[in-house]
Amino acid sequence: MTDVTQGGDGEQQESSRNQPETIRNEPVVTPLTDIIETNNEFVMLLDMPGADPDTLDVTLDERVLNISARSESSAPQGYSLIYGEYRNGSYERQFIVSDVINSDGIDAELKDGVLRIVLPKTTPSPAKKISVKLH
Amino acid sequence: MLNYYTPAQSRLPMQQQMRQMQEDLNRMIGNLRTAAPREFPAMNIWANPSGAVLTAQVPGVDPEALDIAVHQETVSLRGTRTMEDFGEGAVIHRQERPTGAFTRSFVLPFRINADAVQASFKHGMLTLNLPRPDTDQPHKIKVTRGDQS
Repeated sequence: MTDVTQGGDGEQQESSRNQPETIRNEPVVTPLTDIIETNNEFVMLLDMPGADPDTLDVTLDERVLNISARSESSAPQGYSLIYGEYRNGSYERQFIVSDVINSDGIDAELKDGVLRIVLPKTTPSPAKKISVKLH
Repeated sequence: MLNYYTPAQSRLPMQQQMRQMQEDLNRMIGNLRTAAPREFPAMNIWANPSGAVLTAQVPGVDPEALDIAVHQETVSLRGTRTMEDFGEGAVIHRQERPTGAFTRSFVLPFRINADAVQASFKHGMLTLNLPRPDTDQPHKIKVTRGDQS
C-alpha cells in the first residue's frame, strides 16, 4: 500500500505548501496513519481528532483510497487563543491500494477521533500445477 | 572510519564522484528525523478575564483513563495510548501514530478554581474549562473625586 499524499512524510502537518490553494482559508492536515497487515486483512488507523462524522468521506476509486473529513471547530465562545499547537482544518490523505484487496468488503469506523478502515484480502487462488507433457 | 581503497587509474571522473557523494549524503540525512516529534497531545489554550479553556487532541485515548490534575496555577494531563495487539503474524507497514505514556503540564498566569473545573470529551478532543476563583477575578475600581465635599 502506497501513500500518495504529498507531504505525508510521517508528520502530522499542514501540507498546504505542497498542494494547490484551497478555497477555504484553513489548513489541510495529513492524518497520521498506522497500517497493519494480518493474515486475512489490512487494518488502517488514522488519527483524526475533532473530525465531524457527517463530513467524513472514504472512497475507493479504482485503486486510490481517498480519505477526507472536516474538523469541527474547537474554539470556545468568548475566548481568545493565547497558545496554539494545532489548527482546525480539513483532513485529507490518499493511498494506493494493492490489488489483493476485496474492495466490496471494506469497512470503516470512526471512534474517539480514530478512523479505522479494514480492508479484507481476497482469498488467493490456490497455486495451479501445470503438467508438462513428455514426448 | 573505513575508506575504500581506490587505485589511481580507477578513480571516477569528478562529476561522477560528486554524484556519489550526494547520494551518500542523502542516504545519511534521509535516515534521520529532521524534525523533532511533535508533543502529544497537541493543545490549544484559550483565555478571557474569567478563566481559560484548554483543548487537546487525544484521539484513541480512553477518556476514563485520562488523569487530569489541577493545583493552584498548574494543570497537568497524563494518560497512555496503547498500541492495539493484532496477534501473531501481523506485519506493521506504517506506524506514524505515537503510542505510550504521555504527560504534559501548563502553568497559567492565574490560580484555577479547582472545584469548578469541567472536562468534556468528544470525537477525540478533550476540552478543559479552567475558571479563575471569584475572589481572584479582576475587579473594577471606582474612582471618586477627592476635591468635592
